[in-house]
Amino acid sequence: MLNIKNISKTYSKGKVKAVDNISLQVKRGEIFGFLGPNGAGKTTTIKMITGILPIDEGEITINGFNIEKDAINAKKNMGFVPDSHDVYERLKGIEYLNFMADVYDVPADVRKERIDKYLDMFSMKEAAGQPIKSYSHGMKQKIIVIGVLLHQPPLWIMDEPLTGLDPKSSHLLKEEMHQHCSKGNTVFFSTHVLEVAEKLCDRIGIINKGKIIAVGTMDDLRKSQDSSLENIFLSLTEGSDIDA
Amino acid sequence: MRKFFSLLKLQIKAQYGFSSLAYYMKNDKKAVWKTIGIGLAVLLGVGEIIWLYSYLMYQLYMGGSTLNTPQIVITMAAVVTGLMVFFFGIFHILSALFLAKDTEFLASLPISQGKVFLSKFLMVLLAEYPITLLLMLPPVIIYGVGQNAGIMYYLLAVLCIIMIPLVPLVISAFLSLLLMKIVSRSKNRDLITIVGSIIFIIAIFAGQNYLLGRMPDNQQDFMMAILNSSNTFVEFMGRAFPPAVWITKVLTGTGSETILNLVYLVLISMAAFGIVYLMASFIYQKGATAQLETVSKPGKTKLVYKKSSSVLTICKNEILTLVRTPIYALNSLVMVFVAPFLLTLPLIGGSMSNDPDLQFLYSLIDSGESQPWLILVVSGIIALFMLVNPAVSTTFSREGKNMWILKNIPVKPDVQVLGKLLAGCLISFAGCFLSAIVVMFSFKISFTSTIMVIILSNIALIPINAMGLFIDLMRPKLSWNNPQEAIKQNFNAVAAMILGFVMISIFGVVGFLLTRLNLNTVMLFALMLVILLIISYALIQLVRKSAAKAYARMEL
Repeated sequence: MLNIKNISKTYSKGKVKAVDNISLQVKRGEIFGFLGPNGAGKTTTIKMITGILPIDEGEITINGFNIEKDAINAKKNMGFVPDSHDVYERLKGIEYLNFMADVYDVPADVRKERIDKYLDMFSMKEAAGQPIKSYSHGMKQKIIVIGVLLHQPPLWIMDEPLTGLDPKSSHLLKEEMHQHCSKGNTVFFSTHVLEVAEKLCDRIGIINKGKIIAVGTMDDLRKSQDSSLENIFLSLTEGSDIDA
Repeated sequence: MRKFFSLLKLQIKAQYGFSSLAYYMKNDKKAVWKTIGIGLAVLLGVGEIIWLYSYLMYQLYMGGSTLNTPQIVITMAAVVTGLMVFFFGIFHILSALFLAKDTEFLASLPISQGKVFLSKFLMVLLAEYPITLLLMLPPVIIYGVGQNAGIMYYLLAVLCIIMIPLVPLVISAFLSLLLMKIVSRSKNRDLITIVGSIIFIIAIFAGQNYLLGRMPDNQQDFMMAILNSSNTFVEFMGRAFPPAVWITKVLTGTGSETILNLVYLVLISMAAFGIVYLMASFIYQKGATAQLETVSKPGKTKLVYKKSSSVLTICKNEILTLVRTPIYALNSLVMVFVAPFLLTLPLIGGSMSNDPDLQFLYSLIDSGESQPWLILVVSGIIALFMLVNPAVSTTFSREGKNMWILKNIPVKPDVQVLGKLLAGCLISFAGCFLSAIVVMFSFKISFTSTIMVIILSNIALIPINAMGLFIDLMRPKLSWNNPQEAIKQNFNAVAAMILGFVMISIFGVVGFLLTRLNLNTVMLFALMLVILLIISYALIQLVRKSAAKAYARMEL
């Protein structure tokens, strides 16, 4: 589903290598957790996967579509939730959702049904008619999440999606991730919470200083370290901040 | 006061980017040189306008000298500067004091609201000095050289230039504080801010027009008084902005007259500022924090599920965001309303309707022979008004951190730019349409000519908008803390205005050459339309072809 091949990215005119020749394959039907300390290169990698940042070297394909050569089809096959919650604050929730449905070509006959389903699921029905500016941090996160669920993309990419969500919404999102994968789709996400990664993910990748230092199932990782994910993470990242 | 200076220092560093400039000086010299290069190019463009202004001021000085009133050049410059600062001051004050994003942060600090107001007021004052210098230096030098003035004259000129923006800004701040007091009580704050500000600006124009247009009752006595006393004309011209009279007398008077007027200037400016400062100490914070509150209507709202094409979706998103963000709406929509108002002045009366040139233009318009070129001239004037519209030339800059959305959605950049261009053209259309309708009544032009003017001015603005979009596409200012930085401190808006001015001038020359072919109105209109459509197509293609690469270059 997601194929990352030898990608690199350099900032500040070649002085800082944020991502250094990394490769990853994420299969259909799996939930993949992406961990790493602050400044390890997680967000840069995610921005390259989603076509927000150009790739210096290497290539990325999503469901067989190259993100640079066939960007539109690649983007149609994914839905992205960023960590920032930057969204058009002057729009109403429903206007933002209609915008997302339009640009992702959600057919008119299923649009209302899907919007209503997810608004109900995340208890956002009443707020949808209000300006996003009036939303709390968590509500902004929810409206962005709903926006990417509308076109039911084969690949979800989420940068710390659980941050700011209340326990109920967090639980619902995790459920939705499972259901999505059970239909043969894929979830690629980064998280702060190592317990969540441990319980939710089929496979985990750890990045540090721009390089992938470990990839595998929890069992694979335990084979080499015989420990909890927290200890594995700390030992692999040489005690860097516990952060995804 | 330590806290106040610390706050002021922080705001200067944040607004002018001195800290990041120092960083780039060390780490990325190429970026610094690129910025300096663009700055010089803009200065070169502005230089042309300064040269023209200096030439006009020199002519005024020479004309004034023959009437024994060479000092009129100082009065006129001070009046123009005062009015310009007043006009732009309303936007700057509203943006900095009430619509900035740091309001919440500043409200949480243990600093009194009076000091926060003062630091913000000083920031706006600082931003007014470049335009004050550009407008005041040429006449000060022309008069100084012409009169062989000494060092004292130039020292006093520096003091006067420092004082000039104070009074108009104080009045702007006073009006803004009043407006925000009203806004803080209302439910629909954004709308009232936008509408209220536009009404203020129109009221300013109307007031100036009335003041300047009122001639003394006995015009014969007035003319005699001008010939007998060099101050009569100065005082007459200075009615629109009294500090201009004091400044003129400070710089051109002698002995006690200089001192007395200097005292007037300093004392009245300081007193006016003192009153506003006191007022701000009580009501500033409430008005500023009211902007942070968003009113949510209780209960269920009917949700609309509507499907649109990609171009229309982008266009709709652009317009909704623009009209709902007061600082964007004010800057982008003001000319849509102010331009038609300015064109109604001949109907209302006042200074413009008394102008002999305008009377001559009326008689020309009335005569059928002048019809062919009439549509070109009127279209050109309307298009010139609509140039003062940064909606398109800051469209990507305004996205700021939201640019990730446009980069991530599966809509090709060349389609997205069409949506943005369409939004800009719709705003231009609103302004052109209203202006043309007003022109139809105030200049008494025919309905058919009005339709031609609407079409021609709108089509002329397509390549100009496309060029503005291209400029912002190539170098968007995506990193900003306050929305006002995206629109007010953006080189792209100035560059687009200068290039737009050049383009309209070229269209004017083309139009002039076409009139030499002795074509009838319809033929002239059709030919001009074809030329403009070809240029529009070429520039739209340029923007579309550059879009994908430009998007890839935008690093977030």
